[in-house]
Amino acid sequence: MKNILLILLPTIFYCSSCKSGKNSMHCIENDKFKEEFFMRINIVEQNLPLNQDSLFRSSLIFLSNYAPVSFYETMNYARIYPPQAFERDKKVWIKWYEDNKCKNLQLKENYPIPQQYQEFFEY
Amino acid sequence: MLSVTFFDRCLKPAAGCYPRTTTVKTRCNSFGQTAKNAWKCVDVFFDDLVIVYKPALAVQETHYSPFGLVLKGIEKAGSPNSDFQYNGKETQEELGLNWIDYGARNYDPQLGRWHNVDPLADEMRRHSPYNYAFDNPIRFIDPDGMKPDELIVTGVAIEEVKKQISNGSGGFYSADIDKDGKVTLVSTGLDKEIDGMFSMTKGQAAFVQTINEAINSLSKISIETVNADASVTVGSIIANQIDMADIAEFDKAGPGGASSAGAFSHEVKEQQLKAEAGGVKGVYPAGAGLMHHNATKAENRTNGNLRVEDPATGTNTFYEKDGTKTDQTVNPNPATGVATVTKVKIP
Repeated sequence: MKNILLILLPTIFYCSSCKSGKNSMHCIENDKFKEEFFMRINIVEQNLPLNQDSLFRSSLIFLSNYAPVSFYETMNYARIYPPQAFERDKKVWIKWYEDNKCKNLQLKENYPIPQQYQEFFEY
Repeated sequence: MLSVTFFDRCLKPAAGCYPRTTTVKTRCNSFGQTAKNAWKCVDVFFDDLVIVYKPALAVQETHYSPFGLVLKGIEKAGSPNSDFQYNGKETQEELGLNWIDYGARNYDPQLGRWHNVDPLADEMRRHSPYNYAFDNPIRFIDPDGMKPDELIVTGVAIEEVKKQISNGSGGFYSADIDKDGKVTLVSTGLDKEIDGMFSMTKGQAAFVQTINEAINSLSKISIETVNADASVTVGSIIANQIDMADIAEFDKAGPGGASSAGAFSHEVKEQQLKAEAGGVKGVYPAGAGLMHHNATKAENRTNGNLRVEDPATGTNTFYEKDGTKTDQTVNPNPATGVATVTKVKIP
């Protein structure tokens, strides 16, 4: 039994180190993107109850180009993005980032307005 | 208005006003040389110019009593006489009955009664199964012989809805909301007091019209009221909800922009349009943008101004009748659940 453990334990340690080494080798996290992504989330969070201005709205459009945004929720009297939608979406955005951060995420030159939000601009 | 265009012998326009894109040489421009879409005018002189206007012959002119009886004395019957008359329904002249075919039932305008029992009589037990438009054809319209649908208001803020309807109509109407939430407008008789000295303003009349249109809609409109609900900012087209605490904030924010009645009109109209489009509670309706747009028109009539939204910046500018503008912002307050309405007057 001792002999089996002596053989197995180093193998397990070796394999686990191999795995982590492999991950770190293939994870390319773009700090510039990370900074921009979380700055946009911050803008949305800060401006949400104060002033949902053009910066706020462009930040939502930015985020929607990467992760889902509940634009349907904004179809209310003042076309306000409601706090409850933000609370839900924020968790989704952060999860999306964690799931995709190793994919060398890049900023785009243009951020098209998503289909659901375009309806606002038609009338 | 009579528009006249003159042609020369080559059948080219010879004089008058032309769009800016034409190549006619300009000698005068009544709207200024640089004005866009201005019309260019040329002077022209005629000898013995005579303009003869022969109006087209009216094919048919039919007048009705409120219940749809043709007033023969002042009627101008066509040749042939159109059978599709009152409410666009076909008159049945066979056997001299002069009934009108409404699809579900035959209607007799001489009696103001249906000749067939209401197929939905058990749903309206208070009324005769033969009555037409609840004996009130000025207020109600019956497009098919079936029943009008209802405006149903439920939830925690029923009293606020009653208060809002009373305020919005200037006290001329109150809302009767039964245990099922069915809304009926009841005249308070204010207009009959002191020999009709009081009358509704245009905005109040527009508000009453919006509520009446919802009540008389062919679709059943169900609205849930909430009070200071942080998940609803003024109203939610998806959840069929109106936050009456948010609605009250519009009047508290001062004059200009949207009044509480205006915002309430907007929400009711939006829900009416959703219901008429077959929308379901909890589901985002297709064409919500257009519904919002048309609801804004109803709101404008109640407010007596023009709301212009900029979705890129989130600003709402109201162009007031006195030539001023009001910038209005509505911001949610997650802590209290009551939206903050801010109005800034711009001279």
